[in-house]
Amino acid sequence: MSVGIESINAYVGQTSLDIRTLFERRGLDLARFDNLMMEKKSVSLPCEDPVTNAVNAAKPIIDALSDHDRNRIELLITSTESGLDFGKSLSTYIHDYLGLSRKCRLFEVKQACYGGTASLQMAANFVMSNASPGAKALVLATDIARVAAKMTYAEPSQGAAAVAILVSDTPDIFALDFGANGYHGYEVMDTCRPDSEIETGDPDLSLLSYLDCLEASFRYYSERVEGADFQETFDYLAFHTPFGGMVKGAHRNMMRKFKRSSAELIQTDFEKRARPSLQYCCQVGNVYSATLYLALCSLIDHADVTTAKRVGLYSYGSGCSSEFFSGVMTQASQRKLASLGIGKALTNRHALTMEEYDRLLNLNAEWRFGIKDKVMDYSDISAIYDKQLAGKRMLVLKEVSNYQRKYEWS
Amino acid sequence: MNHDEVWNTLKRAILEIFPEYADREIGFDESLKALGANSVDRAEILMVTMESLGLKVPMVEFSRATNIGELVAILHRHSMKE
Repeated sequence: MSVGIESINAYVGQTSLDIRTLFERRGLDLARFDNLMMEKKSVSLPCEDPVTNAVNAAKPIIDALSDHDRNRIELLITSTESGLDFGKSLSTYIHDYLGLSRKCRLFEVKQACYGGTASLQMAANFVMSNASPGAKALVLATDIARVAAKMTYAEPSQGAAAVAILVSDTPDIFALDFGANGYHGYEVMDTCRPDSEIETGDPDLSLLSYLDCLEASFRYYSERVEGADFQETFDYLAFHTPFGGMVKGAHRNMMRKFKRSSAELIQTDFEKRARPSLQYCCQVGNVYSATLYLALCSLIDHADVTTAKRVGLYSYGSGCSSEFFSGVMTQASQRKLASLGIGKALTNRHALTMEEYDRLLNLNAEWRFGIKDKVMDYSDISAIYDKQLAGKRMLVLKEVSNYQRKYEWS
Repeated sequence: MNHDEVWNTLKRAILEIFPEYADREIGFDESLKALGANSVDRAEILMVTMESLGLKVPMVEFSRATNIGELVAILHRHSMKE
């Protein structure tokens, strides 16, 4: 029995901001720009939230299913660090707007940027358990940035997006190496969201913890997989990508430690095995629990899959929890994913001016956590809405009424 | 391993990334950040140093150091244990 990703799609938003422009206009030190290896980031509209992003990611893959298959989705897990309620999970809204069967478990998972992987692994275990033979699971990793990071060095890398992952025993997109998992978790206060409006912490400590966990989780993976080699076993790599420079540094770290490679060989290896997974992340920014799966989408869209290729994946979530695991993609994976047009969706985003961007931040801030009643005023964003959303049948937020969120199709 | 050996190893790692500092004194009260090392560079300097010293110390142990002198102290303390 095999298990893994049957379908996957990323919703990358409707607007983007050029990062170099952001650095210049905020007066940030451009010497720090090169290390980021970022070009653009996705910015949410006020009528968007983690629910709309998740539904818009999932809808194309759900619509492509037969009624029978759609009704076999018996597990819906949303991973987010951008939750909207302390009790009611985002899964409830997502389930409703996707029109799924009520024979379904609905809940939310939280562990910073590791949440998506936690959900994927639990979904895979559900399928492999055969507790409900033939059942499928839908995992949504959906996150947005907190507005309050404005003017800090965190602002350039924070993005917003969602990735929807259908998990089943027909893994057309990515077959997991089931049981080939190394994980490493412990308590460290690196970065966190202790308040509904802020992300805070020590990014330097976070990088160090990321590096420690990459080594430790890979070592555990190697204990479980005989003959595992950081270079030979994996044709490609996809890591959680807060910014591209971090992945480059982490890869270099591992190559020196495990392969004693020269700087030249490391550079060649990075370009070949890691670069393909960075193409989308450097256009979207850090999207927290969804980032690794956006990286996987980027990899499948850009890799050479004339023969089947094994991918090594690394997930890290501050606080912290991490995992190194692997799976296989094929030419059929690439063909199937290409039909979702993620690359095209990236270029279709409206490029914001700084004035538009600052205005959006202010409008987004009005939809603070815990809001009880508010109606969406599209006149504030009419030009962008007409260009990007009108008539496109994307889910958008209409209003919040007595805390219940109400959505409509654009 | 004595303190000087640890310091010289760290200095060599710094110069690997910043050869332009070869002719300049690096003070213990200076920080890698002030020398122009970004977060990824700083992690690499530590990794290269530990590799040369044959030390295996979690990177997070170094997060509390505020200057080069403190980094050397942490490295030295760990080198005495092994």
